[in-house]
Amino acid sequence: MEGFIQYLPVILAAISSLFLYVFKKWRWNILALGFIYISAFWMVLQLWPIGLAVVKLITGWMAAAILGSSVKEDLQTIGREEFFEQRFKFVLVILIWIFTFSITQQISEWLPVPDSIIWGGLILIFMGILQFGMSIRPIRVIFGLMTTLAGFEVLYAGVEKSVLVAGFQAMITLGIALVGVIFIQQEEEEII
Amino acid sequence: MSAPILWIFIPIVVSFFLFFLHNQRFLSVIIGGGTSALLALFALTFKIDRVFPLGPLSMEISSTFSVLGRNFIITDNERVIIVILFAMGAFWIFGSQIAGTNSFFPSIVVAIISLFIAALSVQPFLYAAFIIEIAVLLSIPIFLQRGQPVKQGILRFLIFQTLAVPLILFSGWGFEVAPSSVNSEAINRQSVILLMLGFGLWLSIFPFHTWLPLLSEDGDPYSAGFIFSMLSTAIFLFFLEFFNTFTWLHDQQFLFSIVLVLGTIMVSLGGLFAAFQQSITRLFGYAVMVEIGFSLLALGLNQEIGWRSYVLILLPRLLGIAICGLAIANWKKQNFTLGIDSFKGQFYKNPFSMIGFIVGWFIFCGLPLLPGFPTKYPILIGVAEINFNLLIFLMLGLFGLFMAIFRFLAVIFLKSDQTEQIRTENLLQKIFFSIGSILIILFGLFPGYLLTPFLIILDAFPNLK
Repeated sequence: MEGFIQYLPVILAAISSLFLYVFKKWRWNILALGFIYISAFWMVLQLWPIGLAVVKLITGWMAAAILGSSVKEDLQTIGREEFFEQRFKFVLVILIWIFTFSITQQISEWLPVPDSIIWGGLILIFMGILQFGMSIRPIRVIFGLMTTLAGFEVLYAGVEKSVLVAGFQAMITLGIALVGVIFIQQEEEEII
Repeated sequence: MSAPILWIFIPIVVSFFLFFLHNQRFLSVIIGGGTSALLALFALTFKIDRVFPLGPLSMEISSTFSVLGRNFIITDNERVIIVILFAMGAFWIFGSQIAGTNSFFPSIVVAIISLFIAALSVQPFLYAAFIIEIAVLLSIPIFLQRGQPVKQGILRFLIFQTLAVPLILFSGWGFEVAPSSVNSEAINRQSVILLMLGFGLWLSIFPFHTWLPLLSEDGDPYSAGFIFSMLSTAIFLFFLEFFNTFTWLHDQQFLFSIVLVLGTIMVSLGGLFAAFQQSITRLFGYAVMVEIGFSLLALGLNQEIGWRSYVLILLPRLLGIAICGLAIANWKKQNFTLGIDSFKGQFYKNPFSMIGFIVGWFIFCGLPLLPGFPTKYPILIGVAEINFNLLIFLMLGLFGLFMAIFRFLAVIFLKSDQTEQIRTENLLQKIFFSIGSILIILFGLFPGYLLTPFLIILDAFPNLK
């Protein structure tokens, strides 16, 4: 039972990153991003004290809120989800899950972190790479980078426990979200 | 007063202030450029950790500043780096007045330079990766132009720079834990792979070089030039710190062999692409690719001459990129299409920017009597001693760069009947390009006097001697 609970955040990370990747509805995307940061927080909680781990949750949610607040209504309905595209993406995601599961054991040989966390971190990293690797839309790239960095933060939490590192990571997460906002605004020719 | 407060935190406060002044462009250029110049002057004159008299008073600038249990340390040996970064910052900011960059440029440049200094001074030094990433994020607004969508070059730049951070941090962690691990050899091997991937992404080393020409074309060329020159300088200095800290890396001959090959690929491919390139902005990206290749070659030599060349090549590159970037931005502002063929007879209209560009380009080519020659020549000799075959490819790359500039020269001097004799450059532009060109020529004529003093930078990395 305890083993299963350890894998709950991994399942949450996998499903929320799947939603972020496959669906194009803005509200769902922002919600999925919020859940990704809950899963990251849950995993980091097993390695860091709650006071430090909660920084990840708060900054992640702040970043999601920043992105969510900058989206205009008309952008929210962009693109009709096409069933075939979604099916193709879903197959890709399954392959990524299998791939990350298969390399978890190898990575755990040199990374002093529980297997469940390594798998969760890797899922986020590769889902992020998949996200920005298969899209040229700036906001998708931002989602991808945020997912990848969330995965990295989970893994790096196992090797470095420092307040300054948590601070830097928070600044980078918020910075990427702000860059996302600039991209959205730029597309609408509002700034610069 | 501590050195990190003076050269990191005060400029960040100034940049914050400048951010709100962005609508008053001239004022923000004067304050930003003036602050950078003043801080460069301070770095040149004030010694760190030594008491110096200030009239009836005395003052001491300490080297250390602590934040959240970690230290930022700027030693006296590192003052030259600060001088270079802030002096070049002043050049870039004042130049932005004629380059037509967006209004956030001065504030962002000041912030980025202070972040680079923070990156070079933070302890443990691996945290520099985070700070460089923050600088990269901060740099994004300077590439954006009004009415233009976000293009691929900017996105790729952001992706590659961000992906490099985890790789560098994990490689550094691997190197730190390897000695105490039972599986040290495997960890070291994996860390070296991560390190090479990380630096490959960071420095746009082949096959991750695609964003270089794209960024110079898709973003503002002047801002791209600033990032090409300053970011690569900061990363190369970080690289020095890596080799200075993990001294056993010097014994990894296979690593240096790979670096030599990668450097050769960068020089030869960059030169070849440049030879057949039509767009001036992309050409600029390929020239930067060649320059990065030469730094890799200097590193790959793994000898004292290599480390010396590695440091000496930094300054001419900064000057070359700055003047070429300024010239291209100047032409873009005049609504040139920026294809080589569209420069027909332009020498007669824009003589100063043309001369500036040509002089800057010849630095990249390593033309004798310019500073590119005394800095690249020892590298070529060193490579030839190790593997003569590589030299053939390097010559091919340099030949490509020469071919590109000769194609350009052939076009700009073409005079047709329709060529208008109206000169379009203003006094400020003439002054800028004249000073830049003269400075470059002086560095080339007297490298012993003007370039070798910068070797003092190596004193900050004692294990590399």
